[in-house]
Amino acid sequence: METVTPAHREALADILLPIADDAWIAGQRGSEWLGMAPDLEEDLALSSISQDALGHAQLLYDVLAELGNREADEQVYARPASGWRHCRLVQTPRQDWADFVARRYCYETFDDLRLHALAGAGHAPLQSALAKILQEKLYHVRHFDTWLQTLAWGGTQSRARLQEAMAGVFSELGDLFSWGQGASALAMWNLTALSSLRPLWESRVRARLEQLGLEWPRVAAKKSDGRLGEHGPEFSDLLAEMTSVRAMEPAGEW
Amino acid sequence: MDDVQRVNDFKARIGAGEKIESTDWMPKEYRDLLIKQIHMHGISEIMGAYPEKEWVGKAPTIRRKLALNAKVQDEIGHGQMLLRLAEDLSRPYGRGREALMDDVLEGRVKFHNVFHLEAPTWADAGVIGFMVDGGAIITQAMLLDSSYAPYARMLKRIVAEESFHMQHGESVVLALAEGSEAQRAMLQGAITRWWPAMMYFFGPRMMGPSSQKMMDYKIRTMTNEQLRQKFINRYVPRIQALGMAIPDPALYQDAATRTWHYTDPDWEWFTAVVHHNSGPMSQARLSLRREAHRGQQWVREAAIEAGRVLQERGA
Ligand SMILES: [Fe+2]
Ligand SMILES: [Fe+2]
Repeated sequence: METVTPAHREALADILLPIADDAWIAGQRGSEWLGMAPDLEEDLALSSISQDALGHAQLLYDVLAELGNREADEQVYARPASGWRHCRLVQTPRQDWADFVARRYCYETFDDLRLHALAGAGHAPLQSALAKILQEKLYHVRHFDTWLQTLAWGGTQSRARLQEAMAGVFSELGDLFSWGQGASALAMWNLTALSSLRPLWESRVRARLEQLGLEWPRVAAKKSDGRLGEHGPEFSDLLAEMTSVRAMEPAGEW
Repeated sequence: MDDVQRVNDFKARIGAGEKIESTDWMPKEYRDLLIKQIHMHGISEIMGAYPEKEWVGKAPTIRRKLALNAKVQDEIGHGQMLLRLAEDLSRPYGRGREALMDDVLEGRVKFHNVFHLEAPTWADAGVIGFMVDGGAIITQAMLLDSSYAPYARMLKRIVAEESFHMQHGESVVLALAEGSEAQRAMLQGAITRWWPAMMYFFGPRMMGPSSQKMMDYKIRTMTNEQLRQKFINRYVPRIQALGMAIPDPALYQDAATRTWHYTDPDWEWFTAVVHHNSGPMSQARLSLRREAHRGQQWVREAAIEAGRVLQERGA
């Protein structure tokens, strides 16, 4: 499918943008843990993961630029809040470690499934980006899975904190599985598998929680859809902060 | 061999330029000086993460964000390596990581004056790399000759990374210097803020007794004033090349002696800041460290407990 029509290109951009934005916001929020992790070793590991996530976003923004979007920096710094397609799960600011572990375990597991399903898309620049991303993603999934296990077996208090955090995270899951405007685009690229990732994710996570003796919390229905650009004031604040320095000279060199 | 004889032999080894390994016998005084130096160095690296960390989230390009994130990570990594060395030296005292980290929260170990100060603009984030890492390179290059071999070896790797940090800072600073009026004004503001702090950074003109002893034991090999002169000599042309002003009207180089004359920083104020954690950002940064260390003690305990449980299960 290398001779892509403009409609195809637009469709692929609709599919990739939420994935890129999830990675960017995960990296942005992950960076809030610099100097704040439970110990120095985790600080180092987590910083690598945040850099990877930002790097994955950048790779995908580059693919998007090649599909007709603006260049990567412009996509990050010059887009209004309503143009962002990330989900609620990655947007929530830093809370405690149990929340972060539960949150990132859910996100990384989903993103891993999503990226593997994308491997079916016949678009060379995307495939070369994916090859690099998937390699690192494997490590990220393992990292948070290990922490999930650690907190689950970390004693009564730790287990209770994890269980409570998981319930909180599940209440924010709603739009993780949404494709927003990209839903119809999936068929154009033979990627309909991407629209049915939810049961796959649920069975994988359910099995792991059971294994760790954790309850399966209720998944709340989505209140708003980040995939449609609905992010609320929390994201407007984040975006304002993220772009605050560049806003001084939006067209300047930095 | 009695102790006096042993100490004298030890001093003779150092006098002859021999290097000391962690497994060698050493006088208590030498061990304590090393712990003091390396502990403070390690903690300063960690506290140094905070002023720049604030700017990772606001970095103005993808490339800058990645570079700054990686720099902060390096500093934490330096702290981790140095604390390992300090832990190793502290073994006879039974003091490990937790205790060494508690020390900063309880005011038993100081950290560099520069990390008590505000970094209110993006230019400050650049100037920290440009001038503070640049200053650290000068201090650490001297320590490469340290009589304590494990410290000298570790510094080899650290100094290499500090050079990257300096280049990162220089690149940020250069972009601002070549930028708009507003960018240039922001840069000048940051240089004006950090210059006096850098004059203090290398310590008083007359060194205190423990710095003097560190010279005797060749833990360090240059005086505070020698280091400061090196810094001024290196940074005056660099700052001038940026078209920026150095905020010291009294600064000049004696043509005959090549010595730089400069306005003294407010020694008393900076010393109070370092000794009492009374700088503008001392308490805010300490409270971040407290949140990480004390606030997450439960996580470290959980990890120990999980390790025990998993071992029992043979997993
Ligand atoms: Fe460092
Ligand atoms: Fe550095």
